[in-house]
Amino acid sequence: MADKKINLWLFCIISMMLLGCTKPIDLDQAKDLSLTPVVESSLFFYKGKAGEFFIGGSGAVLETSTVNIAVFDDAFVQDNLVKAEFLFETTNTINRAYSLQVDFLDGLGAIVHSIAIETPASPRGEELLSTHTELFEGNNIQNLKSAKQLEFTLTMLPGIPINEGTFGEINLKSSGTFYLEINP
Amino acid sequence: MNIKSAPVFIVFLVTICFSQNKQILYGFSEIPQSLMQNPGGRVSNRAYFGIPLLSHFHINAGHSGGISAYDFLSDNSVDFNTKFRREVNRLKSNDFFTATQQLELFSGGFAFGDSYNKNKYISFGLYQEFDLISYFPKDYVRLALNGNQNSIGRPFRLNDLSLNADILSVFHVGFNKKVNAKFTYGFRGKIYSSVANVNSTRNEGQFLTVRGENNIYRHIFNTNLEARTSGIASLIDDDNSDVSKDIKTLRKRLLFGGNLGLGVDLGFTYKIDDQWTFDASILDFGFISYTKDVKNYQVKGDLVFEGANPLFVETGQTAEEYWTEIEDDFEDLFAVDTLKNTYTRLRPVKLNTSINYAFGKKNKSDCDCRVAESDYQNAVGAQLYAIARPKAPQLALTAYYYRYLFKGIRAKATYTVDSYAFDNIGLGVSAHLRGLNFYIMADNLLKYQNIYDTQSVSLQLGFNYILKNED
Repeated sequence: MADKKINLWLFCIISMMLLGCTKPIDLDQAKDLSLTPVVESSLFFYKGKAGEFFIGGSGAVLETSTVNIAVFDDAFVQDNLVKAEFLFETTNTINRAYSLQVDFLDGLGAIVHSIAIETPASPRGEELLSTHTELFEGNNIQNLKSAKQLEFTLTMLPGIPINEGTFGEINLKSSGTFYLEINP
Repeated sequence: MNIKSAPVFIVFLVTICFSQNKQILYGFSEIPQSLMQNPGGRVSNRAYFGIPLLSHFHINAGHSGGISAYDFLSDNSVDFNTKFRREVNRLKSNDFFTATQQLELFSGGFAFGDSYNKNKYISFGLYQEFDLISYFPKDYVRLALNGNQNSIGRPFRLNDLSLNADILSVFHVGFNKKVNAKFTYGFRGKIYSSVANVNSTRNEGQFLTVRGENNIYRHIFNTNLEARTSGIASLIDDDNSDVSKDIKTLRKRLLFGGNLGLGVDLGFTYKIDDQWTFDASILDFGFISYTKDVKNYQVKGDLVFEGANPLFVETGQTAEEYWTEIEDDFEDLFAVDTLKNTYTRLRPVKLNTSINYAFGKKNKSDCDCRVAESDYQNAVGAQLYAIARPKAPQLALTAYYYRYLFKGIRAKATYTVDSYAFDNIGLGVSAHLRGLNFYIMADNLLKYQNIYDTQSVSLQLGFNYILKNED
């Protein structure tokens, strides 16, 4: 009698311990995991005082610079960058207009994308803020990814002549918003 | 691990996580392995030996934070990415995953002393242990999921990465003495032999984006990350792809060939009166010194970056020098230094204490009167467990009911409140058939209706051969 009782107890306890039940889960859906970080990064900046330019009233190229960039060549960027947006903010207090040209060059030196940022003159020396947004999507994002060099050309457009004593400065700030989509 | 596999790794951790509390075994004095929880516990046998490899198997899985694998993986119409983000947002950086597994290779014990009063007891054995703790690297996951766009002015803290994993073997010899009817004490010396260790608990620094002065943003990088490993480099780096050779190496390390350490367990039991007892133990008070096969990785750097000035370089450098410097700065920031500094780590020390009340005298017919065991059929009590962990100790509070069911069957039911859950019911049974003892215990039984929905599970079982106190 006692033995039967023990067996029943044992049976109940052990089955309770061993027979864990489950509700349906779907492990496959973990494959759908997608990370979509949005990264904000400062890009380029410069500050130039009018007095440093010393030129007359005609238009002239002030500065050019060519830079090798490796960041877009990176495998992680190549695989996961789906969209990018560059924001350029220029503040001008000089009574002359400027143009900044940014050319994106591929490995063969061919221009694959160009951005022209126009900055109007500030006749009364007030801070004149102008912004430019460049969106890279679709084909454009491929062009951005193929860029190996950037060429910057700052041009002073024709206008009132400036000299050492001319008031004002031109100031550029920029940032990039990079949209990544990572499917691990 | 590359950045892409990180989220999958985290899901994996959430799915299989573990801890170290053995609340059901603690104080269950009919099971010889209870002496491993308190070397000064009550001994109720004359001698025993564990059936080799089968005497004690323990696996314990858990994570804090109140989420479960089911929350992530339930088969419903909600998009996986939605579920994933929802659950990840609920986790905090102090939430953790722990995993412990133990396997006793052999164990035994015997009483000695005057033949009329064998009040001393020696126990010994060798077990293998795996122990992992990883805190949830919240800010790293936040950065990977969302980027920094919504965190301008809010730092990503690099100390959110904190983990430790150990595989080791432990050889131990314990001494237990029943001083008088009221007081029993014991201690146990341990020699640890570490097979492998990965440790990254001293990370500091942050990544912060704020509004800049010269440019739209200022990025502040301050990194001081370190991962220390031992016993891993030789297995990964070696030229031979001969697995059997690696297995030989591992076997050697399990038998005192690894990085060695020493530790001690202490404990006592005090019988306040016929029905009340109080006991306490401190376990794994010790260290391991990692000197062999050490390889450490360090990333250390500071950088403030506001972007690049392509046109007016002011520092007297050429444009080329200027750009090279920026590149170098970033390379230095993320450069990984490999070091071979030896290190020492404390074992995760554990504390157990309990107060117990026995009641309900046994019937004469139920009493196996040759055995020096309690006269009472029932006991209730409260137990407190604590373990030292990298960020803060983890605590668990248990209330239990113990019952002598029939000749040869004892059961203990527990209710535990800990970092994992507030509804953890556990049950353990110890069966004694002549000399053979089998025990099995598991907790979180309420969650067995859907095992994926549990925050922790624990299972212990084993077979022993016990010689009772028949004299």
